Amino acid sequence: MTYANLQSVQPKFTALADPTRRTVFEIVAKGPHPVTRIAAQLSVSRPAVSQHLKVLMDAGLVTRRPSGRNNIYQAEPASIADLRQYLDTLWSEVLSRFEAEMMKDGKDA
Amino acid sequence: MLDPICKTVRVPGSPDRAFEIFTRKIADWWPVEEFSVSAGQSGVPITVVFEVSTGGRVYEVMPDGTESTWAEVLECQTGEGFVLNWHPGRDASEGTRVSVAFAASDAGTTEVTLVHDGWQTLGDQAEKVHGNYDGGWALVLGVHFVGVFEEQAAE
Repeated sequence: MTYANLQSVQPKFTALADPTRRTVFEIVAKGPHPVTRIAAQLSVSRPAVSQHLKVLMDAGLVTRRPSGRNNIYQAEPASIADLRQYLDTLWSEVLSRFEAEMMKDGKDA
Repeated sequence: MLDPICKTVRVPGSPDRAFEIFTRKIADWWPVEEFSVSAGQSGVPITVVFEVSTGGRVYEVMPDGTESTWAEVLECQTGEGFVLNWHPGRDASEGTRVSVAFAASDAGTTEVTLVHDGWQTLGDQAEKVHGNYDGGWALVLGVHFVGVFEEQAAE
């Protein structure tokens, strides 16, 4: 969705539009993973996975923490709540405008 | 599990009238300045068209005259309701489902119920084809991820 008031969630939708990146996100959503274990589950090179993870982190969907010599990646639960909240707000506003139109129309009639 | 987004509003007048205004007259009231593909590009659509029949489309006409499809009409019963494959700004394969029902209520009013879901359906389809993640962005919002998060939160 490229709706204007999407400023906070637009980057998340954009980041998840890519099927491979979505798969990377799905894997980290199941639990914290290092890059190597993500790459092992995909037919994608490790640098490519790192690039996808960077986009997901920039969008606020994934966070990283160091663990020994590795970085561990995990999904950010609040980001999904943001996406849902956006949809909720969208329909509230749409129906409220519809209601206002029905009221106006009713008075005119 | 992610519940559908459900919204209800009660409006004056008959279901037929509410249906008519929601569909054929959508351009009169839809908040296009906020919710349109044009708005995402700092513009305002010329109009919004709701083709009121099964197999029709809902689309906006952008400032340069091109059409941007928001949805396909999957089901349509005049005066009763419709079901859309909803994908503004995205490919039709990435649609979710928006259903709107119109029902007569007290004192000449109409109850309008909107349900936005479809991620669950896509999730079920995706499970049938193991390992196929092309179910669309709906999956992202779907039972799968939210279920995972809720499990984590519960731990």
